[in-house]
Amino acid sequence: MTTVMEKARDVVAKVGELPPIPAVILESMKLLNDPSSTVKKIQEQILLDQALTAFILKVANSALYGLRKEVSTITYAINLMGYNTTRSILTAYLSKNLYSSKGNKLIQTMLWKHSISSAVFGKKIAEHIHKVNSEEAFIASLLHDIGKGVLLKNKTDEFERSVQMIYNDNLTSIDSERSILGFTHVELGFLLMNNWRFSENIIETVIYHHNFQEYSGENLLVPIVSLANKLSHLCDYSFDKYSGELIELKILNFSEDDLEEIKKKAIPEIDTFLEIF
Amino acid sequence: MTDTDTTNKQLSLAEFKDLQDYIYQKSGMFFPVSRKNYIEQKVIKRIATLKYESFKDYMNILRNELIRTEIINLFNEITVNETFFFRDLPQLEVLEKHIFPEAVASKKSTINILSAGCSSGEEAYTIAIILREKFPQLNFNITGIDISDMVVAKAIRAEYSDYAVRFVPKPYMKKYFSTVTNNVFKFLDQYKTNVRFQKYNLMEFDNIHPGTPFDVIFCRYVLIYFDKDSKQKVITSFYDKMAPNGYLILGNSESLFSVTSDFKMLHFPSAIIYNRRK
Repeated sequence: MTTVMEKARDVVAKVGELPPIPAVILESMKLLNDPSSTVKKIQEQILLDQALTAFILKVANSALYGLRKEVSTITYAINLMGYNTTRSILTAYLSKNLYSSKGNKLIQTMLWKHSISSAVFGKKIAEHIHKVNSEEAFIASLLHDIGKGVLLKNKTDEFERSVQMIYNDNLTSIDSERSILGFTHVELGFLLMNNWRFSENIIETVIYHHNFQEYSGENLLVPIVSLANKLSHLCDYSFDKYSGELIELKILNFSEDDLEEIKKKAIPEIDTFLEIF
Repeated sequence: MTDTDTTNKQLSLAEFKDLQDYIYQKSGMFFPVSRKNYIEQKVIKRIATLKYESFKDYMNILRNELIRTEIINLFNEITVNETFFFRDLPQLEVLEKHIFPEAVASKKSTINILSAGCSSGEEAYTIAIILREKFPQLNFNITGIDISDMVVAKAIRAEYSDYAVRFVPKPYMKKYFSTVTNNVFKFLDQYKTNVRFQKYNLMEFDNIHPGTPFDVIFCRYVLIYFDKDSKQKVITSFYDKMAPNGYLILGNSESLFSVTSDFKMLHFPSAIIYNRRK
């Protein structure tokens, strides 16, 4: 962990200002984290951002909830989804925005596809093992590559060249980014998550999502995110090169059958997300 | 609601899977469960048009080919794609600034272009306009193919709404179109000579269409309907029918990652296109 932190300090100077977290998201998150907040209060905050309002209503009205009745207010949407899921949806909005900030449409789409698919896989894995909050797993998996969003925003051309290299020269994202920029999305993700004041548990998943084998702690979110990332690769929702065994299975006590079940549950949900956004 | 009331009817999951499977077998297009509502609407429309009573009857017609053209009508219904002239300008710019000048520089006499999944012809005619306007020294052949005979007929008729032509620059509008009615415009016959359209199922493209290799293949917003296996099959047939170092242009959100490495990705300021490796 220290090496990532040390490297990260050098990176700040090279990459420029990190994107701030929008005030509406920050305030809404604070309210959602406090069980004594009223739904009305949260609605007031969310309504300040029209695009966010539309995003939440779209999710609430999607096949994910399968409701016959139209959800037309934020209060109804929050009551329907609960505070935890609402937090997940806010995070999805946050990352979607960062991934759409600049650059080529195709690359934006690929980043989003990988991010949301990992999130759904992460959630399904957590639901399967019961020991971890599934929305926490959703959020961590959603954000594991967030450093790529910063690269897209601040170093658009370099990042797009690195994507081209992954495809043309059969490299991993880590190798192509390092060869072009001298640092990778992992250090940037760590920095951003720190800046945005995400929990230590989530920051760890960002740091170790490419090298779980080096992790020795007990935070179960780490193997969950690492596995979710790999499942997204295996199911073709990603553009990185991936190889290696699914070493997380042992720690999570998963069989091949468990894996198949998770895929079966996750894929329709992923497709619904991709359909609506 | 009675059985004969098809207007509000929903397909059961089993019925949907049945249909999903059938469409996939026949066309290679895979519609996930998340698109059930979409497919449902289209099928219910077909059932209502045919005045049949249930989905079961309808599947019977499809499977046993009781009405031989019904499968085509169904494809027409589900693949209707909204498209327009001069769509995705950054990609067209790559054509204009990179691909066509390269053809001119290499003293190519004729450039062969395929518009795969051509819909009602907007893309093919757009390319024809660009070539005529900017590269008069280059001869060209443009072939448009689509699975739906309805849109192919429409492409040949070449009549467009004001919506479809909204991005055509004014001088081109004046030169290339005649006004049929207030908001219907016809692409003029004299400019259609080297643009032709045919009905083809892309899945069967590899064994149907021999001939001069294509220098450029456009296949935009078509592969989104295909699963990985079918995508690979279609892309392989493109590769086989393409000139060495030919160009493949996909929709803005479609990529060849995990599909094939037979192509090289070329990254332009706001467009990504693919180049046949040899």
